[in-house]
Amino acid sequence: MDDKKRSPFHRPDRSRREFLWDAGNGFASVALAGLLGNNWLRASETNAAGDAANPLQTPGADPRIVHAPRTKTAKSVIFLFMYGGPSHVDTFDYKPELGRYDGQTIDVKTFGRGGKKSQGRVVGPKWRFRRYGECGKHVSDLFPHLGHCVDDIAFVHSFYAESPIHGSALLNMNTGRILSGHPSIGSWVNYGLGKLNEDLPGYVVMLDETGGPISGAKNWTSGYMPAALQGVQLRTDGPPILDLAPPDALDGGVQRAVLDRLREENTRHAARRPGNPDLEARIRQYELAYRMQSAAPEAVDLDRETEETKELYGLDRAETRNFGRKCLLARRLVERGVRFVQVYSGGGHNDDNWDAHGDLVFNHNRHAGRTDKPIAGLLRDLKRRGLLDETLVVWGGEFGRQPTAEYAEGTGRDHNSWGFTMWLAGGGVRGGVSVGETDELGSKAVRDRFHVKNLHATILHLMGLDPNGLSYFFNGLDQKLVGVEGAQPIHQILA
Amino acid sequence: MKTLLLILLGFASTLGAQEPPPADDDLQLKVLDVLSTHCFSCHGPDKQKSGLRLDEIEEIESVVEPGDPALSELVRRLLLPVTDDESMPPPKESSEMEAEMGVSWERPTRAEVWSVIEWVQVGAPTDAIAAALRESQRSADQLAESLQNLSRALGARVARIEAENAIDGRAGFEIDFRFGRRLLDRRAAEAVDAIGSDIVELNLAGRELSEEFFRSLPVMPRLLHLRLERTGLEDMAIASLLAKSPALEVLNLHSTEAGPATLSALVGIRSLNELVAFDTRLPRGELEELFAGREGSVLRFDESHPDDLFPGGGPRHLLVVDPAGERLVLLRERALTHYDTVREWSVADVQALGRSGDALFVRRASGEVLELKLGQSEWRATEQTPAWSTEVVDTPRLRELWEELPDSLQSTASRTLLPMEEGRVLIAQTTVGLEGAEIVPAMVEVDRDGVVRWQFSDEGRFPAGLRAALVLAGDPTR
Repeated sequence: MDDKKRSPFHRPDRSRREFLWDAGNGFASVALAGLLGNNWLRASETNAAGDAANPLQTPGADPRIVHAPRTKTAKSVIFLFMYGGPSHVDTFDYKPELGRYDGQTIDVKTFGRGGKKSQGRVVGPKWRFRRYGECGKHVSDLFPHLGHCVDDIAFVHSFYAESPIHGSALLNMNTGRILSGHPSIGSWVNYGLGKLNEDLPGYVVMLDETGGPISGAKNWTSGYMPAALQGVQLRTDGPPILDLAPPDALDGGVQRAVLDRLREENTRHAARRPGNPDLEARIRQYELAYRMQSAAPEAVDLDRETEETKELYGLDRAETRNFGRKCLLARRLVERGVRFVQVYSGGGHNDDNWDAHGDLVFNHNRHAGRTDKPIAGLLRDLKRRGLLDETLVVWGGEFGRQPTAEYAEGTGRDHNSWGFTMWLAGGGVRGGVSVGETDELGSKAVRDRFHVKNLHATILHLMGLDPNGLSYFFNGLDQKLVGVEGAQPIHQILA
Repeated sequence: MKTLLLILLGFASTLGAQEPPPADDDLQLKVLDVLSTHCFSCHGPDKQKSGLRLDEIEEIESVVEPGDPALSELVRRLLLPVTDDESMPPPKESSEMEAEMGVSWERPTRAEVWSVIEWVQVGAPTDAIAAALRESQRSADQLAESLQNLSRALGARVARIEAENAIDGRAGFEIDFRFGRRLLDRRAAEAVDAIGSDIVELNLAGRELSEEFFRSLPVMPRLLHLRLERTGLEDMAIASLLAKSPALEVLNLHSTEAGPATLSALVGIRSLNELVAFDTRLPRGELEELFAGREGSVLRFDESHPDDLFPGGGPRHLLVVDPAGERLVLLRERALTHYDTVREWSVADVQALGRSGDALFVRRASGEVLELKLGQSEWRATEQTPAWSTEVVDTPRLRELWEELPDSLQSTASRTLLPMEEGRVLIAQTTVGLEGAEIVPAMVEVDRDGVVRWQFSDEGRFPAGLRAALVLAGDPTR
């Protein structure tokens, strides 16, 4: 069936939205639509403090929110973002032919930061591959712990992205576009499904200890959606959220009194300006911050975990401690209803992330060494707690790396957006499968190719949303994460 | 609020005992049933296509001509052929689409259409319909109130599971208590009581629960999913809750005190086919036995990974002799061409390396033989002259490969071909026996096609100019 036919926007029931737009209230349509589509059950989904329903939250009857026909769905996503671009041919995409051409200059078309080339010196495999699990998946010695999880993982070897340059490729992976200003996937998920826990943000981002990825907050922005949907940065050392703890002067209910007064004023202000989502978002953010003062410290308190669990994530070793803490935090957050958690491995520049232009072995040993055990620990921990079925874990970078060297000397590989691997686990994904192929050297995807959009469509679908139905009206267009052209989920990996 | 109507129609049977209606009203209720099944989704509380909503008496009356089915718009629409644009409910094409969206649109049956015609024929009375709608609304208001109380006061999320998404095909409620922070007490249990018979999922994960709460919880005959993880609940408390959940299919108990009492309660719940038992006192063996006959069942404990992470042997280790001949160095492979130093020994004048059984041997220039027993970390002198050997794989193809090797690798008479994983062969120059051995500079691993997969030589590796190597599957000192 063609997408247009399936889309609810081609059905005759779009009149309410059109009415809103025609009435010149387009900018306010989210909040209004929310109030008008006042499904009482949705409205009754309130938090313990008894606040009214969130008008920014998805009302059931909003024509923009289209649920996928699926009964069992993922409730949360943990996106493990390997910033810099891990080499697929050295991790999960086994290419025995690379060894044959090691050191030889051959004809192969590539497109990296150094531009387009038609020849290159092949860098042979640097790690041994072994077969793991019942599915016999080849995994390199970079990921011996993760190797034992392959029966829970679906590998997609044939992704391609629109840009081989970090900044735009990151935006591509996070927002679906290579240009700034569009909401990131965590915002889309929260927009579509609403928050589960009113006391915590619905979208949390944890950065590498060396710093954020290129473009920083643009990667977790809510773009043209209300600010309440943007990612909140959570720190793993010191106060989890900056400026969250109230100053001493606000002790003893003073803060509550100030907030109540502020709310009063804001509500009065809002009453004269009905349906202003920005104003409403601000009011709600004040309240969220207040509730987070008590909820967030508990959520990030790793001392409540057993020693066995801490070791499972590698908290007992310096090399894995930092990333392990983030993975463990991610589990605690999804347990507490956070919809979307993004964890970055790698930040800053050069070898602080997976961008191995110089010494591939040094770089990838470093980053795989820091993440292998924590990620395997996360998968195993989610599984034994019965959480893996409802938690989708996504692993990958903004692109992969080339089979050839970038420079005359050395083992560094340039960026490769023509073919790379990402994997998904849990949340309704079929484990132990591998989909798609790159060519014999891994230079580009050749079979069952998937655009980044297909990844996004898969994530939305697994969360119970229809990727081609979920839209947000902005600039005269029903904007979608997968673009107006649409995209299908990767059906081969769905359980 | 009006959405409630639909819900109530589904729940009418379970919410309060209703008097059986007098026989005269049967027809009216049948008609109401037809309208709710086939019309309300487009002409009801949620949508009013063409401005029509058939859950209000005035509007029902606007589409019928009492006593005259032929002049009644409602009847005309129902009787039109499916192909007609005005036929109601709409034809198959869109119903497929809707079915995928989770809405089922079936054509009314002949009997259903007849009951509408018959009802119009007898004058289209609406008093019983109106009463049923009012009663629906009233019970719906009550239900709504108790649900509102539940969510407002107790921090529960209450979500309706639509019939078409439900495992047993009946609509029900999911109650999620995870996000509140107060102790759940008797009041919470009483709030649950109002919809106890229609709770399908109950999530109490991570909440602090009072004993009163358990005692006051109603029996939940349709409860399929129960989440109790991270509550730290006592064995007896869990067992008492299980006694109220006879239809349970999925149960999460991790990080609770579940033990013998829970196990006894579980034996009685035959429908259970998914159990998370990690971090409890439940005996694994007995649970496995209990679940053995249940097809597709899932039992979750911790599944530890093997201690030996690398199938087929860990990262390659190499025992090498440094250039000055003063140290023995144990290297660990970090990548195919990169090594880290694991350990060093001050053992000078080494002339040969070898292995036999559970020990490694070196022979020094003085003729002294040292032995490193596997699992130990020190070399000791030994009187024995070990006879060690390796499996030699010698085929025509491998001889060919041998001929293709660089001269430096062929300079000595002896060669060893060691079979490796996946049909590869390691060609190393070693010796048989320690007598007359010579330390060799390099080794190479080739696959069946003769492609070099791995090489080890002193070139640019640690330590520069090292002279010998013995390939080990793992760290011999562990």
